Amino acid sequence: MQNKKYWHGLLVRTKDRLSYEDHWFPFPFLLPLMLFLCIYGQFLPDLNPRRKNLSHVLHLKGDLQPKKALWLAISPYKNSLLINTSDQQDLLIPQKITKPSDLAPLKSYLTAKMQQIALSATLEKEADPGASLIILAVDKTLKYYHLRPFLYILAEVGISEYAFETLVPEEEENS
Amino acid sequence: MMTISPMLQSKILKTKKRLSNNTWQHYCVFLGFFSALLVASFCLRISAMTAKYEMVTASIPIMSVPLKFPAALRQVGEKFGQIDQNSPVIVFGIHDFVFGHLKNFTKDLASDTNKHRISHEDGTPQAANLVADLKKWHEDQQKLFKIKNPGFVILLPQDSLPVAIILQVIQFLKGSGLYSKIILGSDIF
Repeated sequence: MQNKKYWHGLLVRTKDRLSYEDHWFPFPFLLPLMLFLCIYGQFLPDLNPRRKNLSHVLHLKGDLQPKKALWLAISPYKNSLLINTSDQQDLLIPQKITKPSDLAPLKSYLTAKMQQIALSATLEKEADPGASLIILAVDKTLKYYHLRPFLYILAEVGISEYAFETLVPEEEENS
Repeated sequence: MMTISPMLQSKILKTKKRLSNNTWQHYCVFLGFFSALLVASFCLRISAMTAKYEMVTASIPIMSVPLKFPAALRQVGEKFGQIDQNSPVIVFGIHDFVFGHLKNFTKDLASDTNKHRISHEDGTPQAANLVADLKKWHEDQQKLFKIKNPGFVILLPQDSLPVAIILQVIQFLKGSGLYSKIILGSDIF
């Protein structure tokens, strides 16, 4: 009997509440919408492409980077060189190259990328000169002998224009 | 005594009832939530945004090969220059810069008189002196032997040099206006 009274009272109160306009009702729908917009708007289109990059590049003012270019980060990792690519692949290469097969993972990656660029240029009937430019984000602790094998691989794969990434110093950025 | 109309009375009662309900708490909760979302979006932008990066360019020379494929002849790349025996070369060592023509590091490698040396001071490469000497050297070569500055230089750094210093020298050479293309090489040591 008491239960019945409780439910009856609840029903009457709900009826009364719903009988007049209540302005807060769209908010429960807006909550997931705002959360979705916040997460989608921040993460998916503009995720920092350098979030896995371990290389600390030189602070130097250089030339502007093109929008479309291959990007590789080269940083020391234990006794090897860790290469992060722009499509979030990680390659490990020994610091001292003793045989050509040491560079095979990098060579196959770059070959596949060049084929992709050539295919898209053929399909679009338009070649973007910046598309085959490769930007190397080389850690400033590395020496030239670490870098030399990469230059040979670039030449072998058919890349003739390459660049080294630099970080614009803060005072230059603000000016 | 003024009597309140029944309509106004019912409105006052309804307003009292509405205000006595705790729906204003919902406004505060949602306002707080949206403010938190706004703050969170700024924090998320920190993870999404990156610092400003630029680049120092270098080139690898291409060997021209005659193609028999007719369609390829319609698209011919512009030739920037040609590497020959008079192309300028800068050897970037640990103790000094040495520059000269390519033939001076190949055929006439043993001779000392055909190369120019600029020593580093306290281990610091004197890039400004190098550029000044290069400018004068190119002018002299143009006057005496009609050898023009081709607009590119072959840079041969020593293996043990840090990449950071090599990049600074490359950017300095490009910024001087003498060369627009730098070709990195190796294996002279």
